[in-house]
Amino acid sequence: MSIFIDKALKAGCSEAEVCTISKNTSGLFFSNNKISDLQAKESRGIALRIKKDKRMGFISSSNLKDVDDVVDKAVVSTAYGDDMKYRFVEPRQIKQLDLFDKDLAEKPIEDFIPRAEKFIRIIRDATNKIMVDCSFQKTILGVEIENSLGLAASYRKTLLTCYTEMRLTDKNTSFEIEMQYDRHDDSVNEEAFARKVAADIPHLVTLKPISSGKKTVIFTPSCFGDLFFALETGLRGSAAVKGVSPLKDKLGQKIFDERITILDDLTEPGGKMAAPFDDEGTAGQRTVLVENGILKNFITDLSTANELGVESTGNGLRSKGIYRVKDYSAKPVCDFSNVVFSTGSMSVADMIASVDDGVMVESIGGLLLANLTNGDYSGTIAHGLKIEHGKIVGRVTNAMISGNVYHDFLHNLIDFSKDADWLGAFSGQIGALYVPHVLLKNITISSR
Amino acid sequence: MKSYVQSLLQKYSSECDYVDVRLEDTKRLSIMVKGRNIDNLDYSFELGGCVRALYRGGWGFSSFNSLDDLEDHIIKTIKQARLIGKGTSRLAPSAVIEDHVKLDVARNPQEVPLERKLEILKGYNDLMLGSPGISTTSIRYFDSYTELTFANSEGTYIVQEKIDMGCGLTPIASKNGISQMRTVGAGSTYDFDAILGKEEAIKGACDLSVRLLDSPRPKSGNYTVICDRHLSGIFVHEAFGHTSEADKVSEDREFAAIMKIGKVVGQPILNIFDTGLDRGSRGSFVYDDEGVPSEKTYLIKEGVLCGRLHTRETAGIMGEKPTGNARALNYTFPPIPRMRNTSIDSGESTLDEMIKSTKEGIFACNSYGGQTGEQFTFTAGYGYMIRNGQLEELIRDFTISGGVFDTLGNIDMIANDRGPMDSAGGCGKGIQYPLPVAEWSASFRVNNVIVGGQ
Repeated sequence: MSIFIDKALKAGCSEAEVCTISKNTSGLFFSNNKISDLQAKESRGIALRIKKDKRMGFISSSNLKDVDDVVDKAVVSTAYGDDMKYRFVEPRQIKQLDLFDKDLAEKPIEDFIPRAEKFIRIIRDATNKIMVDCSFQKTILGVEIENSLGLAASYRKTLLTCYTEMRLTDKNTSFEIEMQYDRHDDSVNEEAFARKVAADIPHLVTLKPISSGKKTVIFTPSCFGDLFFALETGLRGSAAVKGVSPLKDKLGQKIFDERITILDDLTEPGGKMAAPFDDEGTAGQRTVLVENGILKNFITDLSTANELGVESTGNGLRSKGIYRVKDYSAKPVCDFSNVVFSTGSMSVADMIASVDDGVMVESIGGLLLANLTNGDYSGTIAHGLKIEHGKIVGRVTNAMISGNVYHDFLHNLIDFSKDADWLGAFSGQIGALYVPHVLLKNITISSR
Repeated sequence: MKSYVQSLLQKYSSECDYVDVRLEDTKRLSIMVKGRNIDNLDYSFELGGCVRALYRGGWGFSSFNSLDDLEDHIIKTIKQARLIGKGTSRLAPSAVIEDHVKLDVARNPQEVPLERKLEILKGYNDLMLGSPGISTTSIRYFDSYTELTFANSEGTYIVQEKIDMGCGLTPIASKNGISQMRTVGAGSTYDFDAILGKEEAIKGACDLSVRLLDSPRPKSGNYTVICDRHLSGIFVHEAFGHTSEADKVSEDREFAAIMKIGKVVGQPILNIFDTGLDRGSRGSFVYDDEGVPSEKTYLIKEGVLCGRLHTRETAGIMGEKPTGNARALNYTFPPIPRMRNTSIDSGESTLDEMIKSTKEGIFACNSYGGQTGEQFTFTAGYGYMIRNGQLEELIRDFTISGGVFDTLGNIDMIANDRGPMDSAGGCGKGIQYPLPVAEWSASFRVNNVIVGGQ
């Protein structure tokens, strides 16, 4: 048994749980088109959760030698901790998932140099006015959870992250493109993204004003990710418990167009959050959040599930920062794992061809700064291609877009694309999203 | 420790152009209060270090939690740099410094008993919850103590003892599914007592949150906008400060042409600087993460672009001087050019004069934050319509946006009100978030701004 659990029980705690997270990351970085850094990061730390006098205490530490001080401070924190009406996870059989790719684990990071060079070359061949930063980072993640009820579970996984940020400077404008892909193995297809950017460049440097009005809009998967910010409070069990989810009283009711189904699935190996169990030790599962437009479930962790009188959906996750990187120092919170959206029947080409006067929006700027709880989204069109008579004609400038996801997904859906893609959570409060393109009508655009 | 680290750096310095080591030991307390309850109270201890090596323009970097294998990490990091270094190392020179910066504090937050901190927060919380119309509250508090050691192969060895503290007090008013909130912030690297005396500000925030519920949104369009000190700070940081960070401009000729020193970007009343010297501000420190002394760096003087924010490498590439802006979020990241306390300097007008001389416009106050790119966008916290020089109705939920240089060029009045403005927030750049910064900026008036309302 972990020495931390042992000490905690001796200090009068009724339950204790230790989660150890170790990460070994090696990274290759290109900056301004050139190779700049090779990095290696090792981190290992623990988080201790204890229950004393029915209250929760928490501490995290990467100083593993200082056991007494760690346990003492955790005990101090119980005096102010949550009233803990539930128990930690009982030991049970958990199905393992194969998320460790040996080839990737053993591949030296410098082997990615030719791929990074090719990625940059494809884009720079289209224009030399673009500056490209890109990185490949390979992580071996280890998670171990142990508690005083006898649970002892662990897994290892590999993760390859390809991140790019590009800046296109033309005359007096400077324009940025950002993208991140995460996979458990070496299947990141950064080259396809480079070819798409290269093909878009003539449009990106052609600035087009747009008139104000209600327009037909295509949100690409990366922009769909932005829209999810306006949706996530609604589907989060912890928000339902606190009464801030606008969907809190709508279980079983129709909230969206019947073509919309949304799942959360920790065990979906394509998503970067994939794991056999969550960071409290609850087995991962596939949870139907919305089925054919009807609200079915909220995501929950142990605490939220207890409040709602249901079983945890295995969404107690420890991650840190806006990029949702798993980290020992984070407390487990009720959070999304791999979110999978339903797809539709159109091709993206058909979608574009069907639009007479509209925009294909890749990203919305300033969105995160708004009050998104009620489903409202509003911001500048940071990256949007203007469509006239079924053809892309340039990049939209000086325009804002606004709407409400609950309204738009109920009343304004024309169709989803038949293909979808895993979107890296580069902007995200959520783990990973598998989303299609979406075609919506009557979306408000306001221009200068 | 000192002689051990220095002997290792000495031993391997001939195998690369430059190598440095940072060691960090941090103890941190975080408290969150939501409504009547303490939502979160926890401690974290973090001990770690990193090594950075430069060889012919290529960087190696390693970070770790166990300090036992420092020599192995140095060897490995130099190997990384040698694997990719094929050009020229260009580090601007910096003085060799040996120093121990002792804690400079009036009252150290980590010596204030936990009970006292909770008593203060509870007092504020009771005040907010007792205000008419306030349905719930959110309070965020943290304090940390860090001992940071920096050593490089040139002989610099610096130990810095630092505290940091931040607090955000947010009353939330809700009605008919709409919520409105304002945050009263406090922060300091010098004095726990910066958190005291917030009662009047809290009363104002409570009153405003409730009144905002029934206030209209402005009509979208082009306006003359007066930005209050808070929004001014966010504007100068987000819209202009980030473009002054020299990592972009040092390699990108097209962008360098836009950011050319000597370019006239505003009227002569416009002065913008970034400083690490305001004692107590969360953007202040004595040495940056490359051991370069912090300073006050002018970016725009009398309307003319005159400087930028450098690391030793960006300064070396551009043939300029390091400015003490090389900052890393923590030991797991290499330093990059970052802001400290970025300000539009006080002008000669007053806020009152700016409002009185505006026929029609918006007084935009406070902000949820902002985002930059070719266009910047900020969501204002609230505002007032201005008609015929008078503040009129309260307005809510609007954004302001525009092109950075257009907007700087359209600033025609600046007030003489620069002063302390710290909060619990921080700056994000790539994955490195939240880095402590401050935004002590003066309020200003700008013409022709896009306002997004309804």
